[in-house]
Amino acid sequence: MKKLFAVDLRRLLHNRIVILTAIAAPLILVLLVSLVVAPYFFSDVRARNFFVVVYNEDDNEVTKGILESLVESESLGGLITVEFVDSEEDGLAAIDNGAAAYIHVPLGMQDILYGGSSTVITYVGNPDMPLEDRLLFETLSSGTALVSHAQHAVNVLYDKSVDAGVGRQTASEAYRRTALTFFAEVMSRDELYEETEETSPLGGALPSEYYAASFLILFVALGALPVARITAADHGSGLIHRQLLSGHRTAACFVSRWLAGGAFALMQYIVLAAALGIIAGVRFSVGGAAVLLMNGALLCAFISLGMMLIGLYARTASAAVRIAFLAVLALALMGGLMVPSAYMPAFIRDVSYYTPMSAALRLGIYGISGGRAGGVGLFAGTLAVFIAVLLPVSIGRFQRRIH
Amino acid sequence: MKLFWATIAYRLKALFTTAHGIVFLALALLLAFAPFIGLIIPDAPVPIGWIDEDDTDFSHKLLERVEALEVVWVTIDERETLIANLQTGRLEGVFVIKEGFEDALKGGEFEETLQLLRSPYSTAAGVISESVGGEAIHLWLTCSAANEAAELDPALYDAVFEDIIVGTELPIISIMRLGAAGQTDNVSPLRDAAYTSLYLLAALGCFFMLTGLAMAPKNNDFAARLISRDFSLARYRLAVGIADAAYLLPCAAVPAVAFGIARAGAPVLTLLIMFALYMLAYAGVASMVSRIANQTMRLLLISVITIATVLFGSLLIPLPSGGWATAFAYLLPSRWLSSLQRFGALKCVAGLAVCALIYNIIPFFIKKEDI
Repeated sequence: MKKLFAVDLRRLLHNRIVILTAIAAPLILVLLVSLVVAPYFFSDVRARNFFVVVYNEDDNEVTKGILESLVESESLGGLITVEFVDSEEDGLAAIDNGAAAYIHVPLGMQDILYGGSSTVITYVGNPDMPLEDRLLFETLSSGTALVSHAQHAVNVLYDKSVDAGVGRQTASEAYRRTALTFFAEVMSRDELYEETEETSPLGGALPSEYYAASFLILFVALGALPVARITAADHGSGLIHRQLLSGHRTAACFVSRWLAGGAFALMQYIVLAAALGIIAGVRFSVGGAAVLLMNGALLCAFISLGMMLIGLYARTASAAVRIAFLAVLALALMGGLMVPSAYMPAFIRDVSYYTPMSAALRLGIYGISGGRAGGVGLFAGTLAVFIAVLLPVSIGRFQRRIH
Repeated sequence: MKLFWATIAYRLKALFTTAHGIVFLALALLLAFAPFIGLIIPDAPVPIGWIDEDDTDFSHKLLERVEALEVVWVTIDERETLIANLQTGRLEGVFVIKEGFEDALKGGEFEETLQLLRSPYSTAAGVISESVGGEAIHLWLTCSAANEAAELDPALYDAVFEDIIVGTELPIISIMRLGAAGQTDNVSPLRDAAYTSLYLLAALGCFFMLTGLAMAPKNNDFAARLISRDFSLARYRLAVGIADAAYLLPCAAVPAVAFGIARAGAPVLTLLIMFALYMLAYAGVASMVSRIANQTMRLLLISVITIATVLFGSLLIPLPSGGWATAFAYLLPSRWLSSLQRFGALKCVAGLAVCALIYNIIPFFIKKEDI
């Protein structure tokens, strides 16, 4: 068995260059990704701020107050710098010069609102800065509904006061005073929550642990594709028959291949887990590290088994890797690795919860977050059940194939 | 040249008539259709827990408003049960309405009146905190305006409160997004689904093209016979690449037609040309990768190229602008495919054509190899 395991592992780790490729290539990719995207997702401190130009035609103290509150708000403060321009042409030209967006506040906006009508603020995003544009627009548009409601509140306050016989001057003063307070408070609505230090300033951004764990599982799953290829290629090589003729049992031949595939994937898992953990700012704890390692063992055992099963059913190595790739893609989509399951339709979300990749994702998050969650038994059990189901099917197929 | 076309026809016949080829095409089509399934199934609300420590008229009003939201699904249960469900990821968050919520709002304050409990598994905290928080602020605005009115005339409190809490049918202030050309930039779910479909196909197409050539056995008998007729291996690989690209091309009709219906992206024919050029570019890359002797290393490299294509091609997460890494990404055909909105169809077709040309010419200049 030990001999067979060594042979199978050597077939995967053919030479030093293969070992280096298996470890270094995904590692370099992860580092590149962290350099390019991480400043926006992996921490609360952005590496590079971007600037926004505003053409404010409304020379009203309330509008100025809103803009000031917006710039200093927790949502955008520290993330953007604002430059004011004097015309629409200057604003659009600023986009060409690297502004993330141009915002136009129409002439007499407050007067229009004071008169009870509605108004539209124009937003033009920089097509060359899709990420910055998306983050900024999401943050602005989510606050617009509340600003609109604040405006409705002050409109009602004014109208009802005047209708009740309060003097227009007094009602107008109450309107302006209340409007200024409301808009400033709406911008600082994050203070509504106790303990908001963990809430990302950008509502759409996901926790860093999610990104780290999903990248880890996706990379390891794709890194295990050679297991499917080798299993499919074995059919034509006669290697298994030689091993059987040497006195090895069928089960030993199967288990050695399975374990070798698992060891190959685990090697990549450990290196990537360490790198991604550092990038995502892992909260190290013994429990978390132990769960991360257990996740690695279970995930790699599952992936290796899955790849072998695909290899056993495929007629050619090429077909095996293609089917394996599709399977990884499908499992990753179902497991919420690409789009979090929270955003899936209810039925798919319920199914997703019990898929192997979802269980591995949550165990990964548990490990990277330093064990601040629960459900370890449930998720580890889910992975173990999948292994237990796949194992007899794979052994049966292996036996049929060699005979 | 006759032999070149014959090779393409032979490869296409092999792909379209074998069980493997038909099944793979069916799966690729299924993948292309998958994002559109989300348009049929209604969006699911995000599950949240609710603990009301205040238990007052205002906290009940807040719950009523939150339950009316389409984005969240409220579960009310014992604290321990809710926390246990949160800790296993069944709930995305648990909201605690703290004691004194009503008093604070009536006193014109809202700071730290709510608490959002999250677990590391929560991925929708931003959405739920904004939605529930929005309703709490709505209540605060209503109460504060009514208080202001009461200062002017105490009899006004109820009338103002009732009028404001109902809200308006249409927003008084809205934000309109314009494209760079000045037209309204409508983001429809169909357009989003079309982009997802195109990007999923792009990832699959990249892997398919790379494995088509690189995973072929080195002692390929057909290729050997071609070489005996003075047909170079590089030409053979180019022919196979063209056939592989033509085989998967019909799948691109799915997102292309969706773009047409959504009046977005580019015309159907232009998109098909772009996708064909994209696939051809990877045929060239595959031709280069297939020269690597070790199959395991070749496959690892294919995985790495596929991941790089997805991540740096901006297919999964939009890349921030500027920087050397973003400029470097334009070496990848996928980056041109995802830059359709930015550059327009013509520039993207040109970029993809240059990629396809360069990556397919290089193998002809690499030292000849024997089978």
